[in-house]
Amino acid sequence: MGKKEKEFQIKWKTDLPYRYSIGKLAVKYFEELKNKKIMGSKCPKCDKRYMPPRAVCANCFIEMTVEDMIEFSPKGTLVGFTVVNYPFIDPNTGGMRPFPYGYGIFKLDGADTYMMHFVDETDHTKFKIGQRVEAVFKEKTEGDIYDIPYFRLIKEEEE
Amino acid sequence: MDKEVAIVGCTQTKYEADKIDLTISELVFEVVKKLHNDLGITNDDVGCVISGSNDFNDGRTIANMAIQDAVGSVRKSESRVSGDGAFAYVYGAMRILSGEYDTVLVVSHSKCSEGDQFLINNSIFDPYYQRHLGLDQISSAGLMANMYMSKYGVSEEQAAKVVVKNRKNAINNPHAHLQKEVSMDEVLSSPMLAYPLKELDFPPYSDGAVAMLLTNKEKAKRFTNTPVWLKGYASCTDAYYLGHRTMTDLIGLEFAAKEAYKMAKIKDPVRDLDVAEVFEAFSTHELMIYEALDFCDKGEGGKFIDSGETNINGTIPVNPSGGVLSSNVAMANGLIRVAEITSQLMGAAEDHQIPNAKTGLAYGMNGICSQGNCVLIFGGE
Ligand SMILES: [Zn+2]
Repeated sequence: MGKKEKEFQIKWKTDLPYRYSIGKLAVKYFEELKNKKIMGSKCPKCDKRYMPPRAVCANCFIEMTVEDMIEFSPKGTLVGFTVVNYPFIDPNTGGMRPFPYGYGIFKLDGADTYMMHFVDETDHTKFKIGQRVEAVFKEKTEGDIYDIPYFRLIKEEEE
Repeated sequence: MDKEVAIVGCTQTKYEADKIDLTISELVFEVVKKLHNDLGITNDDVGCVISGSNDFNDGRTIANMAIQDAVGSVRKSESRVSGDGAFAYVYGAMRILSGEYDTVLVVSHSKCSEGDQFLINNSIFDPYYQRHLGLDQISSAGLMANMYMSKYGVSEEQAAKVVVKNRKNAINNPHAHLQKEVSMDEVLSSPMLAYPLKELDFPPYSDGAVAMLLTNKEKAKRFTNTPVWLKGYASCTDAYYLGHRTMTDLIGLEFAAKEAYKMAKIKDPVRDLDVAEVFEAFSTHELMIYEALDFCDKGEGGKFIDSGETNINGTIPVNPSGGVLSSNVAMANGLIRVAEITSQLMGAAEDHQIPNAKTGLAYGMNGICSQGNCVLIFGGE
């Protein structure tokens, strides 16, 4: 189709700022993350333990408040993984995100749902479903999502 | 639901990346004008208009406001589904069922090759816990494929067969974007994007538009001798967070399929359906779809593709058009599936026609890894 030599461009760049309210549950989550604790929600009716915290239990359709938040272990068990191997723009910085990077989906001890995070391994043959993982915290936490820069694979002999 | 809502005509553009000669409006106008010409109608014969699109893909909010002239709905009843085009079809069908309108134009479009699909898909994720961690449709698909393949022992070769099949089918579909056959070796040796999925396990980004006219049982024969009737419909949406879903099985699609089969009185889908067009977002996804649609037992998707039953000459051909792996018009994919099934049941699919197709299934999907699912069963004359 395109007659590239005739391409005519109008360039603009849009900033679309929001002042999103993150809600009481996320405030509590990030406050506790600063204390190196990982918090989720426990349904007061069916006991289902959600990670990340949720305001409504989808099973029971009832409210879960800050009072229903509980701490999960920083350790968990891997149920799936991938190694991301393509370049893309980091939405946080506008620059390119370094790749490859490992990505895991796992269940923290005490949780009933999975969470996903970076894993410090880029060789897919080193991953194994059922393997143990552990959150690695920054030394100086700030109460943001990068307080855990990644999870690490726990070697069998460590357990 | 017997012969209540008819599709009497469909039009599609050629799908391709970087359609710089045509704006979104012009793409939409192309299919709407062709539909008018094919049916011998004018804009006055269209009762109301429903479209399906996505604001992030179009780069503007309430994006349907910008195509009113092209769909012919200036000073006319119009509404839009922000999501997959299959849901726009459902909205249109409801307008016919309401009895308020004799004819409804349903349109879906996108020029998704013009946006940054990583940023657009990353923005599906919540901005507190997930978006910053770099998730998008490709990395999510990698996680899902790894979990599914590990649980059921499905191989990368079996996944690659889906790509080989769909890309081969696309050669006979003049609308398809990628019309070049690929070999097993080419799929398996293409660069790894998100283990275990490689570049060719994923679709391209395609621009295009699709349009169709719906009408009721009284008016259908006025437009065509081969109307296509809605026989069954159901939708089901799964949890927002991937971590709150099963991930190894498409539970939402299973629910939707069961309900749609009940409405359409489908007992044995492989025998009762002649053709299926499904929204496969990546190779392994199509294998999972076979299972959720009950074409085979759970975990048997790999063996089912091995059996060849979903090939164009199999007992239940899946994606004779080439599917989404050949033409990926984000947000229009579901309505394209409906249009393709319509062509099949009208006997108008030409080089990719399934002989004597009488009953067909279209599956449209929203969100990451089959969160929102729409199953439609159609019957021909
Ligand atoms: Zn509950």
